Amino acid sequence: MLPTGPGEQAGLLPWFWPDAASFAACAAVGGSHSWSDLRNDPGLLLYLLSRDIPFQVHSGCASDGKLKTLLASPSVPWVDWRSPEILPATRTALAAAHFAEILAKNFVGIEPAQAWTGAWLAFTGCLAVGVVEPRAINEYLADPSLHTDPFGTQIRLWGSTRADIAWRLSNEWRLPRWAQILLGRIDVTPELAHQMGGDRRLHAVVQVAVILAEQAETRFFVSDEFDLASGLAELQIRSTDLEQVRRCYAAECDLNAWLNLERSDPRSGLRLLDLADAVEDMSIKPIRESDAFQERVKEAKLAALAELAAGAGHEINNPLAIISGHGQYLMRDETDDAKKQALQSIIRQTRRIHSVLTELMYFARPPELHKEWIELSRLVRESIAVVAPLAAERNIEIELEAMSTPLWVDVDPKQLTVALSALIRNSVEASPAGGWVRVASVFRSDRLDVVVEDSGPGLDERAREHLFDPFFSGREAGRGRGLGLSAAWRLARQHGGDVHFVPVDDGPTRFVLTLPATVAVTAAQRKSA
Amino acid sequence: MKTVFTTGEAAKICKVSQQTIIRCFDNGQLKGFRVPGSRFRRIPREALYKFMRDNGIPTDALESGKRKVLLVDDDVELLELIQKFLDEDGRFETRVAQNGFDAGMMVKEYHPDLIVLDVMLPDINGKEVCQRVRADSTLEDVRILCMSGMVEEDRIQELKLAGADDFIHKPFEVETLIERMCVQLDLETAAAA
Repeated sequence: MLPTGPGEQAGLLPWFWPDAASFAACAAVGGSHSWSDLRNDPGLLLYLLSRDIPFQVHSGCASDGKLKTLLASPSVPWVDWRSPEILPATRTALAAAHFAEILAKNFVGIEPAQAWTGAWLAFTGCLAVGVVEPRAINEYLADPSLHTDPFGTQIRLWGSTRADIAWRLSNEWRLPRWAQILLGRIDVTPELAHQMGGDRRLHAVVQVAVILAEQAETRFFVSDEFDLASGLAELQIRSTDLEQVRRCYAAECDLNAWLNLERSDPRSGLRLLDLADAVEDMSIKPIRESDAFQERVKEAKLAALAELAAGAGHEINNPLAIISGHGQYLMRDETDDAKKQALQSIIRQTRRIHSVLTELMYFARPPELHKEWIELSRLVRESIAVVAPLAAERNIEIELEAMSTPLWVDVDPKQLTVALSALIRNSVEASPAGGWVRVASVFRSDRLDVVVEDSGPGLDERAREHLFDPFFSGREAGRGRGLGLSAAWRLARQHGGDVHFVPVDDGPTRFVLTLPATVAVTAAQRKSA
Repeated sequence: MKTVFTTGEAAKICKVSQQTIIRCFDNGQLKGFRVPGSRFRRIPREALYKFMRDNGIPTDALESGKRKVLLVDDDVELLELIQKFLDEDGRFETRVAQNGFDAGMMVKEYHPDLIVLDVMLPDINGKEVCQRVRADSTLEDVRILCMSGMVEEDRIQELKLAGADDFIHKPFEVETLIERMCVQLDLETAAAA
């Protein structure tokens, strides 16, 4: 039988159209698009989710050609989410997204962007009906038997229930598992969602948000499909706490502002394939305020890199051992100086390849921290000593500014020496012959800074952005070669700190390694402890 | 070639305790002499050889006077290379195995003083080889020096926990390898001239 009611067709939708503005924002070369601009477009949210790299638009994201196929399919209507017919559904979904974000931010430590998206997913069944037949939303809301029999009303008017539509979409759309379950099975308890492969706490957050949103906006009876108690129990919040969430929502969230955003059909005024090309051409431009997701992508990248480094370690170091060994064998009886030098170079270069692999591993998967108390100035001196031969060779003077009071730090001395010496090496390599490098430590109220300055040339903006990214290849000559800076950044992060470049107008080039203040005590404090 | 042994050296060669050697020396089973002016016992090579033969102790260790090393790596070129260095050094007698299974068989049969073991073998991994050797009480005097191209610090720690005595990264200075072998074998670190 062919699908008849809007519900039947809604369950077959291949996707929602993102707005033209979203496409344009994503595709704009060098343009910046922030999460707060894009997150109100359910079409874009779904598109990003289906790419497996949520909220990070990057080149090649549509290279499988799926986008082109979709753009060429006229069967999906574009809708203006602000049109009066659909507005009750989109307003309620948007309210749920706000509530979910508040809950995630203030109460339970869940990624706000994920909670936001989850709330949209919970209402996607209703939105799909609106896409297919905008009138069907208001018909449903105006139906006299809605309050006594909401699900029966859905079947009568739509041809199937919201839950059924959503469940079918969740089976058809390629989404991460947690998203699939929020879309298709918002009715199950957080515990069951977890057993099905979903995210227990996220599920609870979205359920609570749906209930609050239907109270604040329009009741679609999605919240009647599950029980508030299990969600609250999962999150360990009391029903009285919800009052605070409501206050927060009333104070911070303005749904009307969203109404003013520009929305239009992406197919109007643009050739479809131009659009597809534009999207496929999207440059890497992380969306701010979605750090949690980016963090995950970064984790995945690092895990893959660690895997590669581990494999490469074996595959490359073994032949290196043989090359180096033969070199050493020939060296033993070699009397010709030129040949000896050549052999020495062979041996030295095998060591260099080995150290690149080691650094790569250090970056991708640093060993566990073995912390001990050590005097900071000793750590700094030892780090300088590592680079001293190179500095001498290049005629660079390394100055160490002593601290007024000796400071003890609780860190992994080996790892921190690697990090600091990498920073100092970077400065030595960038400084012209006869130049200088200065190292100083500053204890501030909230953090400890180790400042490394040099007389070398500074960095342009593009180089700054990718300074610590080992995947970036367009570095400026002299600075940030190899993986040293990346490793320094990573090891500082391991310690709860950071490494950054601090631009100084007309001054030296300055890098700062920051550690949390909690790792440091003065000698006096240490004695009294 | 060494012609006179201390009781400690004889014990190592015979793979028995020093007390056993002293007892056999004192009851006349093992002929020898005391250093003039002291009570230190010394055993001439021929006497030790006869003692070993009479008591069914394999005499190969004494015959070569070299320390037995089992090299295990799946890469033949590396095995040959290390062997070449060790042969020239002159203090080692080597045998080689290219997989964990052969290594396991040869450890029992050859009873090396030291295994130089690559930990990424095609069949049984090095950690397991370490564990198997350590689980066999007859092999407790066998030292294990692991080598590998792997770069994960945590896994190197695991090897040591599994019974490896030392670890060296590939690529290595062959001199360093030999030094580390000597440390395990209580040999002088500088090659005998």
